[in-house]
Amino acid sequence: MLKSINLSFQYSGAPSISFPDFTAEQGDHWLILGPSGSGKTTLLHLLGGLLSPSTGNITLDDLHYSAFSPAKSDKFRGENIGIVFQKAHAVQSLSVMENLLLAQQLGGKILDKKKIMDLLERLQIAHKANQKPNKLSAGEQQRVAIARAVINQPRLILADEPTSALDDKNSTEVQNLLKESADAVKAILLVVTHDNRLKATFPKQLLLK
Amino acid sequence: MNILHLSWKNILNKPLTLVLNLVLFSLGVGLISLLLLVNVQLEDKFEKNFAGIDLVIGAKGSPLQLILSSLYHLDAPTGNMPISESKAFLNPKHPIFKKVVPLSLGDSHRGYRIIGTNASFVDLYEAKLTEGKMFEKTMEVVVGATVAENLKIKTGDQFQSSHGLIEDENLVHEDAKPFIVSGILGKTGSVIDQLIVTKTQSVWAVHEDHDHEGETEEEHAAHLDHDHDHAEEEKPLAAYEDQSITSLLIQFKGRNIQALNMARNINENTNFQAATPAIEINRLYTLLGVGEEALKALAMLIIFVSGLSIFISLFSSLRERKYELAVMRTLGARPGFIFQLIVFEGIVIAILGFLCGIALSHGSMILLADFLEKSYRYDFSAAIFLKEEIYLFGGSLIIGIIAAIIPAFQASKTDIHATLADNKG
Repeated sequence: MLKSINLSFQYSGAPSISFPDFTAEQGDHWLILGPSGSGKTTLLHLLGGLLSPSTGNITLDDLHYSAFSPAKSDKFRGENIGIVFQKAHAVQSLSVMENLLLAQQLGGKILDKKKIMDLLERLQIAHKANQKPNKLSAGEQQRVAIARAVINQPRLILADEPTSALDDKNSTEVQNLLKESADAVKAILLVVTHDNRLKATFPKQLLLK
Repeated sequence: MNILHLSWKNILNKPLTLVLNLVLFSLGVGLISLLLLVNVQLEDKFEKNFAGIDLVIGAKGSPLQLILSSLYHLDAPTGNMPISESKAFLNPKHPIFKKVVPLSLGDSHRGYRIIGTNASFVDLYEAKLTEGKMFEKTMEVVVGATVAENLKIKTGDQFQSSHGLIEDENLVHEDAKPFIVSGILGKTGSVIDQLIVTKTQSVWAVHEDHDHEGETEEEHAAHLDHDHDHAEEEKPLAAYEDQSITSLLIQFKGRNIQALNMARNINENTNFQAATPAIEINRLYTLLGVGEEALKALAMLIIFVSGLSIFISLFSSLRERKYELAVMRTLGARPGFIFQLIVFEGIVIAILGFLCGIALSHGSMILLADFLEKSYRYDFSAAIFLKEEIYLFGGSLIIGIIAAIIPAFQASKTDIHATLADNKG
């Protein structure tokens, strides 16, 4: 279970942004909506342990990870949180397979090529395993990003505008793959977006102003 | 998927940049390595060829030229010493001179110089026979190791000499009696390896025969036998009053005031000059030294520029990679991981540059050695590896690290949130 209480963040020289208290159960799929400037990305980065909150705390299964030191936070994130960004930003000099091996290593997991291939097959990009990311289409690259986010079986999957750069067809595919992948590892899925195409398919929604 | 593998892949991903860095780095490293290779061997040859000679006496002219021609067998002799005027030096009971070795220069065989002298010349270089025996009769020669190897000479072979020091088939003494190889010397690493050594009388004999023009065949043949007989008599050199030699190599009995004054005495009061090898060679070193310093400075400059180039390419690659580095952080990579990654990239480029540089220098040395052999008959090797090259390796590593440190620090300190938030694509 993910719980955030009394969360706020203040950029220097700017007014503080407050976030509504929030609870998500294991297996939940949540959509976090809001206009530009409402702090969606800030919230996601706080939930991902990439930022420390000014007030409040965030717990995952009762682990108060928002208060971890940077070193502990990096480690925790690698093992428990998967993040999908608007663009994959995979390591350009490595193949898809090597990118995923890197994710396993950084997450402190055993290197397991078979596990990676199984995942790539489920995402239907197994045939691109030995290609470098710049040889893949945008939709394929996002599937690599999804694979990377779930390979270490995280408890929490965060997605920041995962479909905003994709056409309708790819957008639908990526939504479905995100949900399936999250379900496969029983993770909480939180998608932060302003893409209205997603509103119809996510029953649980949080609105930021 | 360890850091080394990742840094290797990152470098290969930008092949043109890598090539530029390697070219610059290997030029700098290669130049220094080449200078070292040449220097070490040059100094070694200078040392070995001193052969304990304290003084060289010869015709008046440039002292450096005298030393170069009579001790190092480079350059042309300064002139002749008529024996009639040199008798004082040839006195076997000379008060100051322990050893006096006469040299007659001017002829060669296929580019290798023929030295007219006596057996004590061979002792100067501690050369030992590997085949045959020492020359005894006129026209017998012993051949240095390199000459034998390159011209494929064996004991018993015969050849005609050429006038002058350069290989030229028009100048072969065709009418003269041939030389006969009586023995082959072992390798010493000194100048004798590239020389053909014979009795002084052999050189005279070759040139005497030329003077007999306009005679009939029989008269000529009779003359030859006559001269032949003369040459076999063991007269002391001083007795050949109508002949000349080129120079004398002198070893002193002891280092005293008289010995030290000898050179000045000869220069001021005789028709000859005396040169001290150590003094002239030091002068040569000083002249060469300026050139060497200039090349060293150039090499340092090139290495600095290549370090700068590595720095710039790593730094600008950060800009291209800023999102993928931030994403690696979100995957769990610590700042230290990123720091190490960039530093490794610097190190790998430096190591590759070093290896290319060494390959370049040793490859160039092969070409240079070939040129030096053809021009001067001196033997240089490309196959020696110096301990200084290990220092060069260490230096290369340090430069790679220094070039990478600032970009590495910058990369590791990047704010993940700010980087990923500013770009929504």
